[in-house]
Formats: sequence, C-alpha cells, structure tokens
Amino acid sequence: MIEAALEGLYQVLTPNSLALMCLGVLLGSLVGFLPGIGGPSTLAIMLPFVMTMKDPYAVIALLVGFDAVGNTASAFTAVLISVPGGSGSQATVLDGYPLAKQGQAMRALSASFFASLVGGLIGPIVLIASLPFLRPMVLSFGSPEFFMLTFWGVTMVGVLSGNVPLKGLLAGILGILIAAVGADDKSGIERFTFDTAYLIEGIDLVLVALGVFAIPECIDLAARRTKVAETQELGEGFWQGARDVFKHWWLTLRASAIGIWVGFLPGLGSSVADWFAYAHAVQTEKHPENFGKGDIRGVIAAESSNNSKEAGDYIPTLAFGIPGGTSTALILTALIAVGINPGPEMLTTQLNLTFAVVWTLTIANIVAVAICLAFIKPISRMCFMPFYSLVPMILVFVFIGAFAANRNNLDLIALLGFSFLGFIMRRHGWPRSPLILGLVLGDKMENYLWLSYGRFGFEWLTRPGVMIIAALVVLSLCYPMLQHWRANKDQTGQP
Amino acid sequence: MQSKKIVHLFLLVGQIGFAASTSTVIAANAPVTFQGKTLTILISSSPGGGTDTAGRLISQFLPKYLPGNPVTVVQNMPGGGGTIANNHFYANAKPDGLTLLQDSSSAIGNMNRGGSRIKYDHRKNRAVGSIARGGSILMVRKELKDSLTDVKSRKLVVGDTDGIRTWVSMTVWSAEYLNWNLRWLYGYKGSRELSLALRQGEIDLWATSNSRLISDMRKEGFIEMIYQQDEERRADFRDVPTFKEYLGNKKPSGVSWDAYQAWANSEDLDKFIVAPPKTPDNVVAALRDGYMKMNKDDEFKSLATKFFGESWSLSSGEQTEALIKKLTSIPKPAQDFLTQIRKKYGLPAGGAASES
Amino acid sequence: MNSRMKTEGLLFTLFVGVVMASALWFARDWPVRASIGVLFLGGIGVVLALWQFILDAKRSDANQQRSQFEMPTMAADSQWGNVEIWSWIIGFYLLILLVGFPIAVPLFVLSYSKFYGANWRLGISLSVIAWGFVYGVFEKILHVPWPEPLLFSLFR
Repeated sequence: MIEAALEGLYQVLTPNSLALMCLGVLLGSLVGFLPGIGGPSTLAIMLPFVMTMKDPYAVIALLVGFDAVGNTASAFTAVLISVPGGSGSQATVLDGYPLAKQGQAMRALSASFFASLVGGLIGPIVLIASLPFLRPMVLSFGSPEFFMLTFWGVTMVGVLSGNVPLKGLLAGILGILIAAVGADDKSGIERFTFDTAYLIEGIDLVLVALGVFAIPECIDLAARRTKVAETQELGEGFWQGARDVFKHWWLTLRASAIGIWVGFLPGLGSSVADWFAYAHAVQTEKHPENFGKGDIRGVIAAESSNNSKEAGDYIPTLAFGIPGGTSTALILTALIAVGINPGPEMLTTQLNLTFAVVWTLTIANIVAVAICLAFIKPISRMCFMPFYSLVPMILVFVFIGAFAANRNNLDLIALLGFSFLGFIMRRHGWPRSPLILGLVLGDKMENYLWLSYGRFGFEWLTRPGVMIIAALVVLSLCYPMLQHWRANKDQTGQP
Repeated sequence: MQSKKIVHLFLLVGQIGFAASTSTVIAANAPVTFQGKTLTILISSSPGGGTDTAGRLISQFLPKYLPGNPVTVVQNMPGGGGTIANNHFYANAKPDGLTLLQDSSSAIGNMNRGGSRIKYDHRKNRAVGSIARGGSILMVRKELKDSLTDVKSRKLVVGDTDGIRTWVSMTVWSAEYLNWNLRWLYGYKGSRELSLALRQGEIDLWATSNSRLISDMRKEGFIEMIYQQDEERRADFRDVPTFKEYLGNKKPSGVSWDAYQAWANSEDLDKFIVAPPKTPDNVVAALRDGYMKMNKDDEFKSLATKFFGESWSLSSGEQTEALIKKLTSIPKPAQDFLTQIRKKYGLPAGGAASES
Repeated sequence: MNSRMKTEGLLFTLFVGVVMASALWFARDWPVRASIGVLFLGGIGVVLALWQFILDAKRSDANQQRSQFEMPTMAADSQWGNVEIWSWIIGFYLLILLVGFPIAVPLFVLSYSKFYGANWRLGISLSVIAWGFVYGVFEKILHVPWPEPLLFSLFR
C-alpha cells in the first residue's frame, strides 16, 4: 500500500500532471463561481479532448482536479449576492448572506474557504483510512437503511423550521409533493404531469433553488434600492474567518464527517450534504437561535461538508466502478477510454491510480482555496456595487442558469413561478429550506420505503442497521430537548 | 421599359433561388459536401448515459468520413424521457443534413404508447444508422440457481428500474413456460442501485448488457449467468446460451413468440441516429455511407469496445429503418397478448405494446 | 398596510391548503403504490394548513410568526418597489421570448442600469460583460441551442 501511495504521489507531482491539475482547478473554480454553468456540462465538453489523452494520470489530474473544487468558489456568490453558485452552497446562503449584509463579507468568505480546506483534506484522509473496509461498508446499506437515512434527513425539516414548526412542516410537505411530479417508476404511472412532456422528468432542483432563494433576495435588493452591505465595511475579517474555523474545530470535523457519509452513500444524493451538516449544527450547537441571522457556524458547517463529500462521492466509484453522480459518470467514461477499468482492481492491482485520485483531491483543494483566498478582496467589493449594477447581472445569471440545464423555455416560466413562491414565503416568514430538503429527499424516501416493503414485508423494521439508525434519529431529535432541559436546570440551580 | 423591368425581376428571382439552393448542403444534382458547414448532433438525454456516450463517440468520428469533413457540435436536450428532443427535432430540424438526432429505442416505446404529447414519428425520420451494445445477460445469485423452479421456497426477486426493460421479457417468458418461481421488484433508480442490490442479496436476478459490470461480478464469484437475449451468442460471452437455446423445445410459437419479440427486439435498435423527414436521398446516402465507414476505423472500434464491451455492432441506415418499421407495426394479437401477460405477472403495461 | 400583510399571509396559507387538497384530488384515482404517500402527506398537509390558517387569523399582524431562518421582511414602504422589480423581471422574460437571450441580455442590463442612474460607461460595460458571458460561454463553448425568438419566427 505504501508503494502504491508513493507511486500515486509521484505521478501527481510530475510537471505535466500538476499543470493539468491547475488547469482543472481553475476551470472548476470558474464553473463553481458562475451560476448557470454546471460541472456535468463542462465535463461533457472536455470529454472528447480528454479521450485523446493516453496517460491515465493526466486524465485523473485534469478531471478530478476540476470536479473536486466546484463547491469552493461557489461560496462567493452564495455569500455576496445570495445566489448559490452550485447545489452544494445553498445552505451557505442562510448565514453567509446575512453576514455580508452586516459588513462581514470577508469574514464569511474567509471562514468558508478555510472550512472548505479542512473538509477537502479530511475527505481524502477518511477515504484512505477506509480503503480496506470500502466494499463491506458500501454493501451494508440496502433499501431499508437508505429509507431510514432519508427519513432522518426529513426530520431535519423540523430542525430547519425552528420557531415555526407548522410552517416548516407545510413547506417540507410541499417540497415532497413537488418531488412527486413526474414518471413514477415503481407504479408505472405519471404523477402531476398533466400530460405534458415537460413534466415527465420532474422539476429540477436547481430551478427551485434559484427561484426560491436567489430571486427573492434580488428583489429585496432592488426594492430597497441599496447595496448588499448595509454598512460601509468589508470588515477586516480575513484572519477572523480562519480563527473561527479553528475555534469551532469540533463542528468542522463533524460537518466534514457528515459530508463524507452523504457523498459515500449513493442513495442520498450529495446535494443534501450541506443541509444535513447545517441542520446538525442547529440541532447540536449552543444558542441555535442565532442561526439564520449571520452565525459563522452555519457557514462553516455547510462549507466543510460540501467539500468533504467530493471524496465520499468517489468511494462507490472506486469500490465498484459505480458512479456517484453525473460528474463521476463522465469521469468514469474518460477513465475507461484511457484503459482504466474502474472496479475491484482499483483496490488491488491499480491501487496507485486510486491514490493518484486521492492525492489530486487533496492538492486540488489546497490550490483552489489558495486561489479563492487570493481573490477575496477584489471580488468581495461586489457588496458595494450599487443595486443597479448587481440586480440585472444577478437576474441574467439566474435566468441563464435556469435555462441552461435543460435548454427549455418552459424552465423560465417554472423559474418565475418558484421565484414568486420564494418571494411570498420570505415576505411572510415561511422557512424555505424545508421546501428544498423535502424536494431532494421526498422522492427517494418514498421509493426506498416501497422497495423495503416490497422485498422484506414488515421484516425490514427489524434489520440491525435500521434499528441503529432509528436510535440515532431519536437521539438527534431528543438532544436539543436535553440541552434545553439542562440549560433550564442550570438556571434554576443558580442562587 | 416594362419588359426590361420584367427581365430584371426574373433575374432577381433567379438569383434568390440560386442563393437559396446553395445555402443547403447540396443542390438536387450536385455532389454532396459538408465543407465549411457545421453538423449538429442533438442528443435526447443528459450528459453521461449510454445515449450521450454513443452520440459523442459518433460526433468524434462521423465527420472524418463525410465529404468535406464538417465541424461537429453536440447539444444535449434532455427531458420527457427523450420526448422533448424528439418533438423539437421533428418540428424544427431542417432537412439539409446538418442536424441529426441521437436517440435511444425508448423513444419507439414512447411513440407506440402514444398520447397527445408525442409529436414525432420515427417512421418518417431518415435513419442514418444505429449502434447496438450487445444483448442483456441474465444473472442469478449463485446459491439460488437451483431454486428457480422450487415452488416450496420463496419466490425469487427480479430487480428492475421500471419493469419494462427489454430483458424483463425473458424472465416473464421463463415464468410462463419454464415454471420459474419469480416476482418482480421495480423502482430502483438505475444500474448502480441494481448492481448493489444484487450484491447485497436484496434482489436475486438482474440483467444488463454492460460487460464490465458483468465481468466484475463474475470475478467476485457470487453470480451465475443463465442466458442472453441476442439471437447469437456475444463474442465476449460465448459460454452463455441464448434465451432461445435455453428454452429449447419449450419455446412457444405463434402469438406468444410474436409478443415476446415485440418486447425484446428494441434491444437491437438500442442507440440510433436519424436525419429529419424529407432529407434528400443523396444527403442521406452520404450520411449512411459515412456512418458505416466508422466501422473500419481502428480508433473508433477500440473506443467503442472500451465503452460498450466486445459485442457492440453497427447497423446501416437501411437496417435501422427496417427495424424501426418492424417495432412500430406490431400486430394487434401480439399487442394484446403482451398486455395480458404483463398484467398476469403484475408488471406495468408499456414498451412495445400500446396502452389499453 | 398591516391588515394588508395579514390578508396576504392568510391568502398564502389558503393557497398552500388548496395545493394540498388538489394533490389529494388528483391522487384519488392512482394505483396504491403511487397514491399512498401523496394521500398520507397531503392529508396531513390539509389539516396543518387549516390549523395555520386559524392561528394566523387569530393573531394580529404584529404577532405573525416569522421563521428565525428568514431575513427580516421588507419594509412596508418598499411595496411599490416590489411591483417595480417584478415588472422588470417579467419584462426580461418577455424580452427573451421575443428576441432571444443573446439580444435580450445586453438590452435588459443596459436599460435597467441606465433607468436607475448608471452612467453610459457603466451601463455599456455591464451589458458588454453580460453579452460576452452569454455568447462566449453558452453559445461558443456549450453550444446551447437557443429557441427561435417569437419576433424572428413571425417575420420568417
């Protein structure tokens, strides 16, 4: 194993590989920064060029370098203009944007990049450490266990509802119903499609997220006719942000661990990593009432998890040659084209290639964070741009972002519809994040429930994995109540 | 004076007509050339899947074998299970040979099912060619192979995405004519989830044409291959009998076999590429010729083998057109049989048969 | 103004309830596999929406509950500002329909920024950047197939 690790490192550090990795990182950062351009579309364009490369290490350097860093730079737009640059930075908006409004944009961005760095380093470390257990780990999660995990995720709707549980639950149910739109494989019928081709494949998460989060904030900016930053300060928070990450080191580690798990489990979809980590932070940290108002812990939790999940994504890819998502599917295609057979050999005879992937993930993250940190000050000045410069540009990005995924004009109508929904929800204090969680998890949860029942009848409830996760769910729901009770007890105990 | 104006008018009309004719790839009798043109290949799925891979592979090699070597551009237009790209292509693509659609056989299934949202007709499109990736191979968990016909043990579980994949037909006919003790569990999202479920024992049988996945699982030693769907044994799995061979003298005939073939044959079509209706014959001929010439390109063959395994094959435009015709004109008795047998085994109606 | 917000809030809660009820209505004919989840959750949703409606109706506007995770509501005097910006957003959409993205984008950016006080230099620079982004990335690199603009198809 040591020889494979060294061989992998050596290959990654050759000038050719380093140059390609830096190119991949630059492209990946740009794609992450610009809402509207997705990683998969760009990867698909790079594919013909990559397929002509003969050296597998070169392919790994370019593509893995590109893929690993998308969620780092997306924090820029999430924090500065509340437009999530990618699906991984949605939760960052909740506390990042309020921080920018309070004149602490530098601190928020710095914290997000340092958190990304930590997450991006922990991911590969855990990946290596779990190499011997990779296959049994992946195999121990079947439909019943996935149902419990998605159910756990859905209970976080309650957490993210905070002080308005009814509204939060309603938003969550609404999200689940939106997720039900489209062809339902388990029954062979179409639900809520009204006989249109457009709705057969359901409603895109990106569309809903852009509409529900980005446009209402843009409207607020335009209606107030002001700048993002309500103060004149950018803040001197660069080092403060770094200190925040290390001050909350335990939260950063937990969030990174959550990210890896979500990335690793092929059934969850890695766009929930940041939500899970955020909700976990709200559940377990002291003074949860500060979340959503510019609490740096919210930024840290979201950003460390969305970087560590990239390493998690590669686990099923390396263990079984099964891609974790569209991006890894495309990378797999490129690897096959250069003669690499992703599968069991990646853990035996081709371990050096596996290590090359791990090293690239690590080094690419460091390079990406360095680039982002270098550009923090100039890009943060966006907060001081007058609204008449920012608003039209944001709208252009959002409209293009909504259109570019499926290249369909109807997506723009859907965007307008969801924008109005998000606008009204914001206006009347309905929490929007439960809607997103419901949308992402609802469909999966329903599916896994049917597969579990269809295969095992009611016996699925007695599986050890199911019972362990159920216990964890109960614990995570009770923990905040326990903390509350302890806090009350301490108060009453005082003279 | 007036006659001069009339002459000028005729000259003007003539010039416009000439300009119009040369803006397309060819004029009626001129040799076909794509020189200086851009060939657009529209792909009816999102990036990353089999249709996309096939389309991108073709986009790389087809221009080499077209006269004039056009620049190629690939555009994905996912949505509606391929319906959106099909509707758009059928309504808007100009019949000048410069826009092609890379599609998959599920579009034929959608077309057969019909409905108000289907606004295309593949029988009118001009088929350029198709690539079939090799038939599916049915696998069973090793320890359960002997339980296939054991009515005393639990029913073995066949796993699928939506219950209407072409290979599922083999399992249904096995249940009907070989007395296999089966039930079907569908709703899995894709081959990733299904291969994991097979490994875990959550499902007992599954089929795929992905030779990489099959070889990996075979190497791991927990599965056995039972039969394969193709008419002839695949080059990379010569030791596995075809379904027809496996059935032996229990193979049904008449309506039953017609119905089976109606369901199973779309695998032969797999990933096909078409030009719009009314594309001139000589343009279609040039495209078809270029398509088949790819078969002689070593690099193309090597990449195709890497992606699709050893059993892929190209079919000509004429063969593809004939297959599309066959798949869209299933006799009513066969359709009814198909609907009934699916209902009997609790499977959704769909695929080759039209919905009742 | 306050009672207007309250009425709006009540209407939205009602809308949510109606959506839940409609889901129940559509799902009533589906096979069990497809309908049971929707019926279960939709049923709960209808009950919760009704409960929320009653709570909202009983509270005065000042006591309407807001989620701690949501930003403070926009100031009442920006009411007209909301109508303005929505007009621009819908106008942008219509412009895209009429003339397509590559023309609509620079036109919109220039007109919005100029309308609200940008000088010509800033307005034109922003429109050039926006157009460059759309054209360079989406047309040249990603080859996004733009739908035919309505105006062009009318004059074809």
